This record gives sequence, C-alpha cells and structure tokens, in this order.
Amino acid sequence: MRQFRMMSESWWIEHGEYEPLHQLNLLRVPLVRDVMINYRESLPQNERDNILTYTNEKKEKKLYTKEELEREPLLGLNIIDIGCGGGLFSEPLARLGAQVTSIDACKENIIAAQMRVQSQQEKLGVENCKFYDRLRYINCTVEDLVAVEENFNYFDAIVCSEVVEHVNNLNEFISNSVKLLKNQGFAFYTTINRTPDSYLSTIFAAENILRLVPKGTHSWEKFVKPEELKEILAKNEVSTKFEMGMMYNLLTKNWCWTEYKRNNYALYAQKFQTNIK
Amino acid sequence: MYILAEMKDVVHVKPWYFDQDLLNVIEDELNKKFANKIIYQLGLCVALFDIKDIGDSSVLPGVYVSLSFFDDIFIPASNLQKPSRFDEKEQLFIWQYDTGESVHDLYIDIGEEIRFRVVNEIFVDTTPTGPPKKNDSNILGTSSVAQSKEETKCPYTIIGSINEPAMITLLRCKVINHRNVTKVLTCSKYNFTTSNCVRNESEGESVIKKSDYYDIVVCGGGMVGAAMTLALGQDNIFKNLKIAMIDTAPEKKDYDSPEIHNYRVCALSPSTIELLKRVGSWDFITQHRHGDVHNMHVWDGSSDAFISFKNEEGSNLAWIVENDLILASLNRNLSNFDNVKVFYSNKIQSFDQNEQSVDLKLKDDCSIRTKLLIGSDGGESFIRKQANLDVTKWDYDQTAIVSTLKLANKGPNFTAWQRFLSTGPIALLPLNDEYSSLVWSIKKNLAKELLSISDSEFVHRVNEAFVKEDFKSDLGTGIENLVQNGLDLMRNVLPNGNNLISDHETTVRLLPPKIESCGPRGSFPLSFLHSSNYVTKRLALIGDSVHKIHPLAGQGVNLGFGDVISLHECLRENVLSGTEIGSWHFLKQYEARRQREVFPKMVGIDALNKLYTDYDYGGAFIKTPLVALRTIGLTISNRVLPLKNIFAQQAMK
Ligand SMILES: Cc1cc2nc3c(=O)[nH]c(=O)nc-3n(C[C@H](O)[C@H](O)[C@H](O)COP(=O)(O)OP(=O)(O)OC[C@H]3O[C@@H](n4cnc5c(N)ncnc54)[C@H](O)[C@@H]3O)c2cc1C
Ligand SMILES: C[S@@+](CC[C@H](N)C(=O)[O-])C[C@H]1O[C@@H](n2cnc3c(N)ncnc32)[C@H](O)[C@@H]1O
Repeated sequence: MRQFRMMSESWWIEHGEYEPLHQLNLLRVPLVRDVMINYRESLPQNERDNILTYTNEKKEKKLYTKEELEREPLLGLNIIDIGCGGGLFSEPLARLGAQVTSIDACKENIIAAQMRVQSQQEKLGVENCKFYDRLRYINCTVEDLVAVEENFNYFDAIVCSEVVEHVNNLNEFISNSVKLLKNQGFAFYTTINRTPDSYLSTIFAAENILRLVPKGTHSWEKFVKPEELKEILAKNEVSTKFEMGMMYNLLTKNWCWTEYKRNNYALYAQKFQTNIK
Repeated sequence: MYILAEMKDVVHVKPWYFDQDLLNVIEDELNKKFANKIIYQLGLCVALFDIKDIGDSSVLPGVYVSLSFFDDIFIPASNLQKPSRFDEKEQLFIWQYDTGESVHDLYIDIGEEIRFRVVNEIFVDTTPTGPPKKNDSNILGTSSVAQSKEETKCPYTIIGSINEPAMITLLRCKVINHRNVTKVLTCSKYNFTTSNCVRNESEGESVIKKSDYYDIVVCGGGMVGAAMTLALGQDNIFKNLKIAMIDTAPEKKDYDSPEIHNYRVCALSPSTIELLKRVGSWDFITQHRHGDVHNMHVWDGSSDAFISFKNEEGSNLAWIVENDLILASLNRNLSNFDNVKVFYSNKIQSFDQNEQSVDLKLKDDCSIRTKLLIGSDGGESFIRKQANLDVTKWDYDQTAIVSTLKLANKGPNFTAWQRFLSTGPIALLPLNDEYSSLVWSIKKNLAKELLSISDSEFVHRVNEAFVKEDFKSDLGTGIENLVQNGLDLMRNVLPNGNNLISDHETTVRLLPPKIESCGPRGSFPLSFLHSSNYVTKRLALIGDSVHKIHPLAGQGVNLGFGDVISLHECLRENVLSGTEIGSWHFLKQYEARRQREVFPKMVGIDALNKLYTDYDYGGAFIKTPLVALRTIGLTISNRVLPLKNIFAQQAMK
C-alpha cells in the first residue's frame, strides 16, 4: 500500500512511469468491450431490455438506440474496477458507456483519480466530458462493499487489473469480490505469473536494472499462477473462459497478446451460480 | 507580474469552526481552496488579498458519518430519508417514518451504523499552501471527531445519501456528528492575487478571452480538410465529439456550373470516389458534371515507345472534376451535422501544443482548445511550420500551365493523353465531348513565354507539343526498352496501379484530338515536399501540408483523400478503444500506415519526372534519359523497391 502513495501523482502522464498501464488499455479495454457486448447480446430479451432502459430528463423510460450503442457499446452495464489506482482502466470503460464504480483502498490514489476528473472538467468544460458522470471513485475496500447485502449481484462485470499480485489474502479477496457480480456476469483479471521468468523480468530487471518501477513495487512470492487463480474462482462458482499471455515490448512500448503466459497474463471468467437464493 | 483577480465563491464552514472568528475561518477556507492552485485562464493563485464582501450565510443541515478509516463523509439533510426533521433538544435528526397508520420517530443515533451511497466527492488540493494556518486543537471541539482530525484540512470529502430506494454501492458507516452541520456563506466576494502562469509570460497579455472547446479541430478547409471534417461529421461514432473546421476562405457552398469548366480540375481515383460516395458528396457531383477517363495513352517524346492503360474491370480509370465542384459538394454537407461547426474567413494565428491539449488562437482573438488538431492547410502549411516538422523539399524548375481547351471535333472523349517531353510532361484530360483540360508542366523560362503569347499561338503550341518530334537520342535502340520500362513505372505510381493492364493490342499509336481554342490560362509553380513526420503530439497533418508532388500522375489530391480515409479509420479505432481522442498510439498508427503508402509513390513520381526531363546538374546539361537514369535514377533506385527491380532486370540484359 505505502509505495503507491508516492506514485499517486503521476498516474496520468501518458509517457511517464505508468506508461505500461496506459498502453495495456489497448489490449484490456477492447477485450472487456467485446466480451461484454456479447454478454449483453446473449441475455434473454427481458433482461437485456432491462439493462438498456434508462430514464431521460423528462422522466420517460427509453431504450438505448442502435446508434447510441454503436457509439457507446457498454451503455447500461455496471462495471466495478477493483483496485482502480489512478483510474487508468476505469476511464476508458466509462467513456465507452459503462456505469463504472471504481474503488481503491488507497486514499491517495482515489484522490489522484478524482483530481484527474476535476482537472479535465476544468480544462474542457463539464459539458464536454459528460461521460465522467458515469464514473464514480470511492475510497473503500471490497470488504466494505460486501458488508452491505444490497451490493450483492449488482455488477455485470468486475475488472481487476494488476491488483491480485498485491493482495494478501487472495482467497478472501476473490470470494468477496465475486459476490458483487451478477449471475452470468464476467470477472476480468490481469496479473503476473509466479515463474522464474517473471522473477527475472519483473523484479530483477524492472526494479533493479531498468528501474522501470520503484524497488519494492512487487514481491514475487505474492504473484499468482493462472492455475491458482482459476482454482479460487472455480471454488466460487466462477468458471474461466479465456486466458492469454501478454507481452510488453520495451522498445516500442506496446503490448501484444501471446501464447506465452509465464510473465503477464489476462484471464476472464463467468459466474454460474447453481443455487440462487 | 501579479494581478488581482476578483472572485466570488461559496464557502463551507464546518460546525467545529463555528466558535472561531468568522473572517479567519473564511480566509483559511479560501486559501485552502485556491492558494497554489492553477486556475484556468487566470494563472497560479498566490495569496488571498482581501475579502471584499461577505454575503448571507445559511446553514446546511446534515449528518457527518465515518468509515473506520475515513471520516469526511457528509450526508446533507436533503439526502436523508424523507421526511426527516432536526430535533433541537436532542441535537439529532429524526426520520419520521410513516407506517401508513401512524408516524414513528426513528432517531439516527450517534455511533449507530447506517448505510449510505456515495453521490459526490469533493476534494481540495492539499499540496503546500500559502499562508500559515492558525491551528489550535480547541477548534475541534466536537467530541466524537476530535482524535481523528489531526490534520485540519481534508483533501477529500464524500457526499453521501441514505435516501434512495435502489441503493447501489453502499458503504456501511458510523454516525459521528449529528447536528446542523456546515454553514454555507454565499456570495463572499474577494480578491485573489494571481500570477499569470501561462507559458509565454508576457505582461499585459494576461487576460485570455473565454475559450471554446472542440474535441477535433481541422485547420484548412480545402478539398482534403473539408473531406476530413465531413468524414468525421457523418460518422455516428463521432456524434458525441465536437468538431470544428477553420478556413481562411469564405464559405464555398454553391456551385453555379459555369459554361466553360474552370481550369483547376483533379483526376480522381476510384478510392477517392468511394470516399466521396461514403460522405454523401458524389451525388452532387454527378448531378452536375465530370469527365470520364476510360483509358490512358502515355508516350515518349524522343522515341516511339508508348503504353496504354485501361482498367481491368472496365470501369473508369479516373474521373475529372473541377476543384470548385468538389469543394462545393463537400462544404454544402458540413452544415448537416449539429456537432460540426465551421469557422469560415477565419484563421489560426498561433497555437500551443501540450500534453493534454492544443490551445489555438484565432484571428478574431477567439481561443479554442482541442484534443486533436488536424492540419490540412496546404503546401505552405502554417501548422506544419509552427510544429517544426522536418521536411524534404525542393522546387522543380518547372511551372504547370493549366487551361480548359475546346476540341476541334466534337465526339466521344474518354481518353487521357500524356506525353513526356524533355521540357516536362504535357497531359490532356477529358471533360466532355467538346472540352478537355490541359496540364502542361514545363521549364520555368519556357512557361513564361507560353503564358505571354496569344491564345491562338498558345493553342498552336499545344497541338505541336503532342505531335512534334522532341529530340532524337543517338544512343541506339536500347533506349526504347528503357523508355518502356520507365513507362511501366507509371503502374507503380498510378492509382490502382496493379489493377491496370497495359493495352498491348493497341499497336497503332492513336493521336490526341486537335485543339481548336483555349480558355484562360493559369499557372502554378511545382515543388516536391515530404515531411518526415505526419504527426506530433496531439497533431496530425493530411494532404498537401505533408506531401506535395508533381502533378504528372494526377495524384496530389488523391493522396490527400487517402490520408483522410486512413486517419478516419485510425480515429475510429481510437474512439472505439475508449481512449481519449488524439492519443499518441493512434496518431502513430496513422503515420506508419500512410507513410508506407505515400512515400514510395512520391519517389516514383519524382523519378519519373527526372528520368524524362533535362536537368542542369552543375553545368553539365544531360540530354538523354539514359544518362539521367545513371545519375539520379540509380541513387533513387536504392531506396525504392519497384524501381530497383526494374533496373535490376535491365542490368541483366
Ligand atoms: C497544376 C496542378 C494540377 C493538379 N492536378 C491534380 C490532379 O489532376 N489530381 C490530383 O489528385 N491532384 C492534383 N493537384 C494537386 C491538388 O490540387 C492538391 O493536392 C490539393 O489541392 C491539396 O489539397 P489540400 O486540401 O491538402 O490543400 P489546399 O487545396 O492547398 O487547401 C488548403 C486550405 O487551407 C486554408 N488555409 C491555409 N492556411 C490556413 C490557416 N492558417 N488557417 C486556416 N486555414 C488555412 C486555405 O484557405 C485552403 O482552403 C494538382 C496541383 C496542381 C498545382
Ligand atoms: C498497479 S495498481 C493497478 C491500477 C489499475 N487497476 C490499472 O491497471 O491501471 C494496483 C492498485 O491496487 C490497489 N490495491 C491493492 N490491494 C487492494 C485491495 N485489497 N483492495 C483494493 N485495492 C487494492 C492499490 O492501491 C493500487 O492502486
């Protein structure tokens, strides 16, 4: 937790220290977008209409039109970004139409994320970045949210990117967070595998040699193998649908999908609750 | 250096400050909010100077609650369950719960756990503030909050609500302070000292006029800029973005079909036509007029080598349309879109690129802020120069003379004719069965003469140029092969080059139509320009502003339209990826895709011109294509693949 405080100011500089996270958006945002469009389309008619209904200023009930959905494909979907940091992942999702609740246990990060919103609104004019209305940053933990039962089964998707490798009790963290997920909803994770390869690249090279991230950002022991993550998810009735390696090219500063999963990887899973209370 | 700014604001005074000197508290609050903060268009606030006026105050009732790790959560009375009232005696809010039969008073006790929803967040920048605070612990009188408030300023406050039926993302919290809470002072007018922190810190110019925001600004409304604006404007994906176009020229919506075609015309390629159809402009053009090119004859002035092209699919090779008509067809559609605004007869005076935006200043002193500036302001691009992009450029020692010519015999006219002369290429483009358009690139000194002679003399010279023997090379028959190969080069530089088939059946050389008379003559100096970068931070260039070529292949505006297609595509991806418009990744992608297409074509066209035109290289006047080939051709061939292949074949013979 502590090391993030020092970094919270610099989240939004595109070519700054968080460049890899900015660039990662080019993989993870389209992934979430496409999976969630499919999810919406595969829902039974009445549930889909439910999602696509909104109340306009005149208090009339309306359905989002095809054109609106083409522009903002995630309209009507509730997404929670757990461990949102400076909001790098949350913002594009909100821009694509999703109603995004972003939480982080670190107050400084939430403030950094809020600062970003405020400074954009100041610079561009509130009316020119209306999508921020769909984005809410809250300084709290998953435990805070699951303490209130109304929050259960609320979200269509959980995104949790580059977070689980920092979590102390992963079992509890996952089982709590998937409570927030609707049945049939999707959970997306990106993280780092625990392999000798990742030790070399993430700890040794990134922290010591290249100094990409400050020392102590990661501790290798906490890294999570995809098998472990899948197993925990399965225990919570969330079944993994996709996993794929991700590779960062230090020269071009680009990420690409790869079969090689020994470093970074992404995974998504769908909740199938058997006995719904 | 420093200026005084009068501001007006609403100040919240928390209940635990109520026993303090009001003026001091307000001062503190104002400093907290503004000191050391940059206020847009005002600059950095240094310190509070004086308070001029304090308006009426009102009390904002509500409840302060706490999460175990976070205390600054305020639930205004309006967000409590309704109806609620404040009980003066108990100093508590009471929810008057109506069961239908009777009304129960439900107390919200201090220390009680409630659930609330976050409805808003407020935060104050707490980084180093100006004046020292009068900080006593006794101001934190209210018991339950005292220990948690060692820092008097709170950078972040959550506004909560417990009055919503469908409560989502609820948090559980403890009630900590339960009285009429924040006092709100409306309309305190005060002066703040601010320093002007805008980069070029020049005194006197500290006040910037109110600025407008557009997500995308297109600078230059020529054919390429207007097509760009229209392509974005008509695309549903961009409907939520505000788009502006700025042009120095007045609005050019109308086209009045002058009896004789204007001499400025373009040969449009099939992919350009696709674009014009997509943006809904092509119909307007076909309602008026255009010339059709079914085939094309290209031959050489010094030998009998020639080549004919026609399109494999049997459709047009190109369409000849007046520039005015293209412009009108685009401009008239621009007003159809609510999210597109055009500033005609205006101009960008200066601009400032930074990480997050580009700030523009227009001729009329208006300021515009944008996320992406697209420069389409032509060959002399102000935007490109201002952005300091490196260019490769030179002037050809040639001028293009253009005119609309009347043919001696009315009849089918679907062939474009082009002949390479030692003084430069001459081309005749079909407009209709009576008229053709002339583009004659010729050495500057000769051009001067051609522009000064009478119309009838000029017509005579044009006719002559298409038939008269140019010069005979004495290098034997090998040259014909070479010329043939050179003509094959045309394939590489022509639009849809690969779909073209050379028309080898046409073994008899046809002659171009005879010209009877000519319209007004225009002339344009010719130059080559290519920018090594098409994009920089929050800026993309399209059209002649990044690449200007010799008109011999009739490619200039088509390359520009190609830029439009490509940039439009990249920006679509940009929007659909949820990233802010104008993100670097997508600009770079445009640049990479485009340069790969454009650069080889440009070098090819340039080589072609040089191959056939006499050049004066350091005194030695080189007469024959072969020698020219050895000197320039070979150096270029190392950079361009198609050329290299051709020359390699030649060497093997
Ligand atoms: C003789 C000749 C024949 C040609 N024939 C052909 C042909 O057959 N086929 C073909 O494809 N191409 C041809 N071309 C090339 C073609 O004309 C150009 O490529 C094309 O006009 C480029 O369009 P553009 O919109 O990029 O630039 P321009 O047409 O130069 O437009 C630039 C616009 O920007 C505006 N502007 C300039 N500065 C500012 C500023 N600071 N702020 C705001 N606005 C500004 C100007 O008013 C103008 O409207 C020919 C060119 C010549 C010279
Ligand atoms: C590397 S950042 C990832 C930021 C963001 N998800 C992104 O990809 O741009 C990790 C974040 O997780 C947060 N975090 C770590 N453990 C957490 C937990 N148990 N609950 C909530 N947030 C946590 C940290 O505060 C930090 O902001």
